[in-house]
Amino acid sequence: MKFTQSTNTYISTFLELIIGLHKSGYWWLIPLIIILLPLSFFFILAQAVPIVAPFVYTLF
Amino acid sequence: MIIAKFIFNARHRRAWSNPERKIQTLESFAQTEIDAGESILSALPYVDNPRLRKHLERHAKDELEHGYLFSAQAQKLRKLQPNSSSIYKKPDKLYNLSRFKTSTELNSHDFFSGENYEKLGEITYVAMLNIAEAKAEKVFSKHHQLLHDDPETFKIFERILKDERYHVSYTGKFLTEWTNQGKTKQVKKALSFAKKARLLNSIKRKSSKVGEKIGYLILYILYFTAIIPFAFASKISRTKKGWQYPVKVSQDLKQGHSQY
Amino acid sequence: MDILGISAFYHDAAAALVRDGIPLAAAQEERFTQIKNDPTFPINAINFCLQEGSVSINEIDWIVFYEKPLRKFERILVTHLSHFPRSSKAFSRAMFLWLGDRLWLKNRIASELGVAPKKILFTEHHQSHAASAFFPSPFRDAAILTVDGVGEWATTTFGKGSENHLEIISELHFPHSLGLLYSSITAFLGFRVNEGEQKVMGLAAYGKPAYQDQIRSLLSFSNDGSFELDVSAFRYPFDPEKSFGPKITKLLGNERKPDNPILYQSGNSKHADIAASVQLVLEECMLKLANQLHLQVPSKNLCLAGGVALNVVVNSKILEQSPFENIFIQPAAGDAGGALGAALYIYHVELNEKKRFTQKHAFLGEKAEATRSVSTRNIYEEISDEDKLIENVVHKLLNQKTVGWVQGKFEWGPRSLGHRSLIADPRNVEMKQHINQYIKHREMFRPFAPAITKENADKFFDIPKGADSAVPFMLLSVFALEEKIEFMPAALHVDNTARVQVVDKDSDPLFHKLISRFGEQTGVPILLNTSLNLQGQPMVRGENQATDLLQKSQLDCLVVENRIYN
Repeated sequence: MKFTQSTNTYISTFLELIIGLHKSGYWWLIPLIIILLPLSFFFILAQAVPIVAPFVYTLF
Repeated sequence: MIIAKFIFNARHRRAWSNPERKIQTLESFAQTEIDAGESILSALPYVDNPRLRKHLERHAKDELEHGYLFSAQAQKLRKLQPNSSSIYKKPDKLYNLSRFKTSTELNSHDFFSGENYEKLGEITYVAMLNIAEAKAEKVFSKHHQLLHDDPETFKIFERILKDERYHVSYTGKFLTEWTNQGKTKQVKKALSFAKKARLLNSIKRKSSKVGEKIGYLILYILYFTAIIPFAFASKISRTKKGWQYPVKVSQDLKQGHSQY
Repeated sequence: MDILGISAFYHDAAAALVRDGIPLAAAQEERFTQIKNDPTFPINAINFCLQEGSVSINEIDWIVFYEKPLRKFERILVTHLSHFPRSSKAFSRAMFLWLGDRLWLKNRIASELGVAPKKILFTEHHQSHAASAFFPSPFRDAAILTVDGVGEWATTTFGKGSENHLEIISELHFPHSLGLLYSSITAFLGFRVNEGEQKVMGLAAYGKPAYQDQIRSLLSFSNDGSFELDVSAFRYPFDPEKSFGPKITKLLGNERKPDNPILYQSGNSKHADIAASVQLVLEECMLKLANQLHLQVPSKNLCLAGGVALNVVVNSKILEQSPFENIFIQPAAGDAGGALGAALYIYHVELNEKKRFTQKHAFLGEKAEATRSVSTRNIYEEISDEDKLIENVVHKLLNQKTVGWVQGKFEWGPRSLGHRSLIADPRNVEMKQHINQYIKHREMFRPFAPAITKENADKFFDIPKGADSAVPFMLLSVFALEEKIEFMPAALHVDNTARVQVVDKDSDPLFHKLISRFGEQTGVPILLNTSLNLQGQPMVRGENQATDLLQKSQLDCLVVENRIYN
């Protein structure tokens, strides 16, 4: 997926979440989402495990 | 140094510490060998160099034979313990290869596959094999030394070590050949990548764990600080009891695109 | 039109490929990774589906995920906040997971599969369940009941289906969940959640519902059929590790630790009694729900899905005692079935396409030979003549051998239906103990199931009317006829009930032939049929795993296609 496409998808998901919370009556959660959003970037990096081949025999 | 060696060897000793564990270890080793063998076999169609292909074919068959030897020995020991519950007990974390199966990025069983041969190229592939086999030889030597009281298993390791030495030798010879053909830079790069990959991988794995712990800590702190007003707001808002009636929405793809 | 449905991340990840409304392939990820209930992104199952459909991911028209992640996130966030400050651990774990991964599911699917985000759709969790039950059913119209732990917010839904139209009429919300009530008691009895519920159902037959009042006190029903749980008794809304609270311990006594013995023998059957009590209460609740549903959707037909629909005893009670006359239950009634349901929902409801398929069998998985390994050193005998093969196997069964039977494509759903089965002579009562103790290494109270030919089903079992669509998939519990009990003791439960599989000649001619031939020799056209797997592991995927099992257990022989391994 291209970088712009990926960024657009992140943004649209975020906006969908905000609009959805508002429609559901949980509008008071929106400020919390805005507080939590920057953490998202850090957590995404922390969860990304690299595609590096493990050395099978290091396990032993 | 002696103490460090003792501690290091302790984990290998644990693998043979009792009959049930022995069976688990043998089966775990068998699975690794078989998977490696099948993985290398799957790479053969991608290999252009006929000499290399011949060696890889023999290498693959060796791995499969090792798998068979380990597995047959495990079966033999299992027959001595018909009620063994070890078949459903998870092996030690260290020896449990299936722990990597939870993530497709870390599938240790497919690394030497044809797809990766294509991706890495022949020099890097052979360099990775060379480093892996050299490490395997070291590790298996350690296990071999711990099995003097079990002549059958001792003999199996003896046979396997012989093969591992051949694997290190032929891969090393190809790397030397390519160096002599003027591909010194590529070979050095490949070997460096192979050596670093192990270390890098280990660092990345550990830092991923550290990142997780830091993440939990940040959220924990946030929970008892910034979250408090939202927690009060949630207690005030009414929970929904009884039947809820979903809002009628258009039943078309517009609704399907929505993640909410 | 090719639609790929995906379920993942809670438990039982799966993928299903639907072409023009007909399922071509469907499989749970656990079969490929051999990790039980594997919840991870089902890349192996997806690759299998694409291969089976001879289609690349770029040629797929739509990719559908089986639930709405943002609404699920809303529920998790609101629930954790409302349980402040007890939910600190749950909050930090959940937020790490969601903010780092699950919230951005669309991005993840797009990058894992290499597709454009606009191709990715989402259905609601219970819509997926409802669709998985209604669209494969033989009914043109039906009432639909889905009951599970929880989806986004809904735990229980009423729906109606008609032609290609499906609508959820009403739903009950978390934390009021029958699935989680049952799971909490499962955990209380020391079993693993999402795995142990079947064990509790089996254990119930050994006990008496001595604790039914205590369990009934945990919930209350309203006149409109809705119910509420006493949330103060449970911890699952805020504790990621323990689902029940001190109130339950007060009502039922000390919980059982996993390593402690299970009390089910007469004289000391406390655990069986608790199991019997929660089973009775669940049956009562589900019957009330079914009756209420019929008032709103007065159809003759009922479709069931959601994890609770795997409780075969409940299913039978509903068919026998509710106003519904016919029943269909999705074989993969749990979350895995959501993958199929999501794809079918999009095809029929959102793309407005007609219903054109009725599920008559569950063989949607990978062929047995696909995992045939070059490394196998096992010696086998190949018998190309089908009749000779059957004769050979029947001979082994008559000699009281246990036989692994691996044929064709593996089953969709948790039951083995003759393609990845362990079969044996049901007449020999010792077989029960032998298989439980020496092959499957599981608890002695666990029952086995009988597979019987369709023509003979009514001669041995009391099969209720309207069960035709459910019995091929082992989804009902029926009583054995009294005069026939002595002929199949190993395949009956302690109360002479059985989770019977009725085998149709057209759906599985080879298995039908095998059972028939056995019947010709013995007068009992029934085989004991249990799943071919080691304890704690999923059913075998194919030849490779089956031969592995043969080596590791006391299984006498293995038949894979026309190869016999001894």
